[in-house]
Amino acid sequence: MTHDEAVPPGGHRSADGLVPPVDPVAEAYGREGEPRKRRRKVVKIPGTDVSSLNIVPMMDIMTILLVFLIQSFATEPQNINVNLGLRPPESTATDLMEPAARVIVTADAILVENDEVVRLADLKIQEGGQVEIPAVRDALLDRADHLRALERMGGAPFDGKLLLVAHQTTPYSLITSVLFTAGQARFGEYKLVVMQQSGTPE
Amino acid sequence: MRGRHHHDQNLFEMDEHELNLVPYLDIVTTLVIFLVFTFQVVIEFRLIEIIPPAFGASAQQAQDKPEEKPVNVTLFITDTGYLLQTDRDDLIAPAAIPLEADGTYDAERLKQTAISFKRQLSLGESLILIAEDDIQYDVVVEAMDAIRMDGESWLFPDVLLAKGQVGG
Repeated sequence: MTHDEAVPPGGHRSADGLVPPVDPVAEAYGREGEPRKRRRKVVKIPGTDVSSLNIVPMMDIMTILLVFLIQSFATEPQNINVNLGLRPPESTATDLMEPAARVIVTADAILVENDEVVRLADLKIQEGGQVEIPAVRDALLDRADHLRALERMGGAPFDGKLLLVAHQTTPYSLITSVLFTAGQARFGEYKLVVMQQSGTPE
Repeated sequence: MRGRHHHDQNLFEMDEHELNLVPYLDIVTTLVIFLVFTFQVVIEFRLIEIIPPAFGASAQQAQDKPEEKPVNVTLFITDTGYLLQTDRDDLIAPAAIPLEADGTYDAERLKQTAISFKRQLSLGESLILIAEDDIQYDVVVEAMDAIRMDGESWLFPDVLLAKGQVGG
């Protein structure tokens, strides 16, 4: 056997050039008779694999949020923007909101259907009598004509219903003046819009 | 064996064709962000029906039965408190309800007075409300709440807003 002879797998060449046969016990326990170190087995903890992120719980939360937000939008028949200048008083009334023409009295202006028609600074309410507000009357007459035109075209019948949304510090004289003016503009059924008091039964 | 192999193959195919939820999640996330930004605090609004003077229920009743004139109840709101009275002072004396020590209106006492009036005279459900010009709207609404009902029974739900001489 020459040096050029192939060494069998697991074998090694001795000093005299002889190749001893492969000992399976030595192969298993190492050359010094000690057990060979086992390879560490990688244990995968479930859920730690970033490559497969489970998005189903997130999708559930998003869907629930979406349904809640859409529902809260759908249940508001008429959206009223409450702010520092328009905060209706709280009440224990239980009648639900309904669609109708609206007059809004904020802390500094009067609006008809969200269009400002007069500033309160330009308004002078005489003491001791109901005063008509011409700008509000004209805007309400236009609104009444519009609703009547819609009725002729097959829309909802004009019932003269008017919602009054007023800021909580509005003086009583201004409230009665607006109602008096609405009466002059052919609106005859008035409802005050208030915020539901907390704890009031539905 | 063949059947099991076929079953395993089906499972494998299901995994391969799993629904891709990422586009759906994109849409939902965009919608939620939009709705959250445009979302306002949910405030429940309610309505209080009032009777304009020209269409007053008490006036209508008076025309229907002129011989039986109903007793009109009037609530005055001034800067010193409430005054509840009828147009028949000989039947029941007017009741003045002054402000409380902290300057607020005593709505609870107004309610008790209204209950007492209603029991003594078996009045209808309409009431005339007259306030001074500078009385704030929330004070008016608070008074209307107090006289609207007692528990489950109605007191004066039909309120007619009017202007006039307070106490007159």
